Amino acid sequence: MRLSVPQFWRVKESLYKLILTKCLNCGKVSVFKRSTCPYCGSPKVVHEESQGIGVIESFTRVYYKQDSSEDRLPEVVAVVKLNEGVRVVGEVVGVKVDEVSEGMVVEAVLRRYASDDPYGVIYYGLKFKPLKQNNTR
Amino acid sequence: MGAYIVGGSVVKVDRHFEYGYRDLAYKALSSCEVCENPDYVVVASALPELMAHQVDVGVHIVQWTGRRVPVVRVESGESSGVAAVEVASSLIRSGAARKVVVLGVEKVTEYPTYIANRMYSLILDYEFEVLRGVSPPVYAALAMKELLRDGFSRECFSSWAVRMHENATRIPHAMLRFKISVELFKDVQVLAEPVTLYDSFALGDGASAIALSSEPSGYEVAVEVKYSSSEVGLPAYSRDRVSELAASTKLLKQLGERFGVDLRKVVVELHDSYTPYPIALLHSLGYIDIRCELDGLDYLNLSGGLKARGHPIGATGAYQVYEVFKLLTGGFNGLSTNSEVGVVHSMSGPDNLSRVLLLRRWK
Amino acid sequence: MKAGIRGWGAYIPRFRLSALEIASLWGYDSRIPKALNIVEKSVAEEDEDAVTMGWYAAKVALRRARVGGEEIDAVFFGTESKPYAVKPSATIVADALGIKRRKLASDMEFACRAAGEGLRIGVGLVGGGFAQNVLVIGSDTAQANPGDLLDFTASSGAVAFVVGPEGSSVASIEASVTYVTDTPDFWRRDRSPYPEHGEIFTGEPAYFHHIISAAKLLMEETGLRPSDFDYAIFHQPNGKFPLQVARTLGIPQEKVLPGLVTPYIGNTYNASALLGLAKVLEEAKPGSRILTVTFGSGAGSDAFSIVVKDSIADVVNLGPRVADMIGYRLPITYAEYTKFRNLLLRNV
Repeated sequence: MRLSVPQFWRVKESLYKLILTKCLNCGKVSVFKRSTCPYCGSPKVVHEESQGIGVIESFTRVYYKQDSSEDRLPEVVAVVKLNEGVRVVGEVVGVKVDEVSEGMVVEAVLRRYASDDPYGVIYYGLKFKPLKQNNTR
Repeated sequence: MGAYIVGGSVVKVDRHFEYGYRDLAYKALSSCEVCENPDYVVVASALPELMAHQVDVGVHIVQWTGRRVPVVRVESGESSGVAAVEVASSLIRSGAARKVVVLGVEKVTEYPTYIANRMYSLILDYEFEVLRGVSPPVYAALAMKELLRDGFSRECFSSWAVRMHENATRIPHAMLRFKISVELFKDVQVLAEPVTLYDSFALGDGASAIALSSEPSGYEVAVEVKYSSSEVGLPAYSRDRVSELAASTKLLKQLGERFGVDLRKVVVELHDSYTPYPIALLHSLGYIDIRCELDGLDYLNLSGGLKARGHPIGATGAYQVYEVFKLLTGGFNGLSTNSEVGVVHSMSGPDNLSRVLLLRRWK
Repeated sequence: MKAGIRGWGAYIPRFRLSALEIASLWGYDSRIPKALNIVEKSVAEEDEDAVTMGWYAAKVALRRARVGGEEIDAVFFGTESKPYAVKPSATIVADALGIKRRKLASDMEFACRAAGEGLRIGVGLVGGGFAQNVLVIGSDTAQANPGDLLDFTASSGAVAFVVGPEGSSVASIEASVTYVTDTPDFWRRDRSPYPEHGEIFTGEPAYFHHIISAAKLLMEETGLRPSDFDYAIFHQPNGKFPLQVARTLGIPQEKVLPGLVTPYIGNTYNASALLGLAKVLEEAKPGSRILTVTFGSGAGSDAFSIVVKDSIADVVNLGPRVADMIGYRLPITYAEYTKFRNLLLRNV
């Protein structure tokens, strides 16, 4: 058993959804469900779920092999600026790697993050896919 | 009470299949003449649990040497080595020990590279970065892209690597001791575009021993650990710019403000895990602009840096301290400097944490 | 008639493998795709599975239904490509969508009609007053032995419906019936990665007998005739069978074509007929009566008579449309297909 069950179960809300943490002290918003503001350290925070729509600000095409990740490579990892104004990093899927561009509008979608094959648990979490569902090409 | 580095040793950064953690540690220790009879040993190492299935590696190293001295293992990701020197000098300055040996040691070749890459990537946040597909080369790529957008040229980063390789030809313990050219970057393997293999540190096994003492007068040479400081930054994804290395910039700026340190005039080792990072840092400190002219920084990364001397992850900081110590006290292989002052800069991940040491030659 | 459809959603992966490419690799004459009326099939990526696709379809269904997680009382996940043989997919999707804990939830298996049965159960729960809203998902990464005739059509996709009280629905389920026998036309043993099938035996004794029986039963029980329907949607293992069924039932081809999606995306197993229904709901004028008949091997069929209401116009554009998803396509090679679907034997 390579992947932990309790570890995943404990954080899965932050993996299944894009939860934003808003600081009542300094007003900044950060991503993931946090107990304290990463900017000012205050514990006075509230949480809300992002709609999951955003724009690609920056991205890179990854060929870096870790474990036996060749079945997923090449992949694109991007910094996405959500409509709520917060940045989050994540993989871009549903595209050929040379199609991604800055300014592309994306939506968060549930995908497999990892699976402890053949007998272990599957981790699910959010990645990003182009929002448009119709071909312009 | 001051803490003084009075000697040390390094093992060549390489693929040492014939040596494990304790063998490397023992090799470094026994090549260090002034390292005998410490009151305390501080082991710096980041990956033994993952690489060698060994918890509490400090104890197992010390037991292996037969000299059962009090020991603690310090882990702080890529900055473990400098963290260990901080701890060692604190032990001495507080009077808890009179002589401390720092042993930086790391094995990265117990598994194939693609597995080592995964272990190394765990310096990032497992739940919020690693699981989401983010690895250290991704941040380096995003940083390089930002700098390219600012007006830096691709050649700027390539020329950093070229310079590091050139410097390493004069360093006997460096892993990569051959020159490279900017042209080679066209064809080299891409890690995360535009970061290539040549923009990334050389990964190898290593060990380095540093002896620190409260009594420098009994030794031939001594360098004082004048000042140490560290700062934790924001996670890279929470910044406006990934290339904003705020923690490192702050610490190095402080050295300028408090001690008048000018990086053009002192021996300095910057943590160049990926070529965009030292460029971003030198730019934010005002030493270079987008023309990227590194002339005038004559004592910058004379070791060849993480790029060419190599990066045995948790042990690297100890190498950096050893190299600055040597360059301040007679140099090596005919390579010497006129400086009395040296700066060691270490970083964990994309500036998740930064550490600096200010060293001054005492004798 | 006490239940109806409040919302629906679908997900079709973007990548497509052409039937001619399959034919060319496996030594089928290039006329075979035409005989099956299949052009290409949708292919899920490596990190997709029935759960991830079902999640997307369900998310859109909730948006169209304009209900939140707190209002869903049951989640049924119909699939024959469960990521876990034991561990429900329904709960993963429910949790990811913020559906409340006080609910029914389970995965259902009946080859391609599991989601159809889920709809029938939803109608029962809502009609009986045991639930206000029932989420039914049909999702599959359909399997076929590489090189088998089935490989031409086995594809990936998902569809989801929210069944609720008729009064708050946008399409009433005015009648439904299910017809089930023990007919082993197509099956998959528990350790087998791919199904086996009886080839010609899957036709007359299985597909045709059950679909026609269910459709006829529905018409007998309701007094409806083929001419009362504006659309007829059938389970579509290829692009030919539904047209043959329509001929037998005396339904003209034009009523079948709008709901016939297999030629362009393949057979998405549990999402097959129901994806056709989702597409038609996005096109049909209020007042239209839709015949939908599922088929699952083993074997059985559900027949539904659905009447579209005026209120459907308010919700069609609340989510991506099936027709758009069919058109949003990117062709891949057979080699990429084997990588996406993990068909190569590798040391991992």
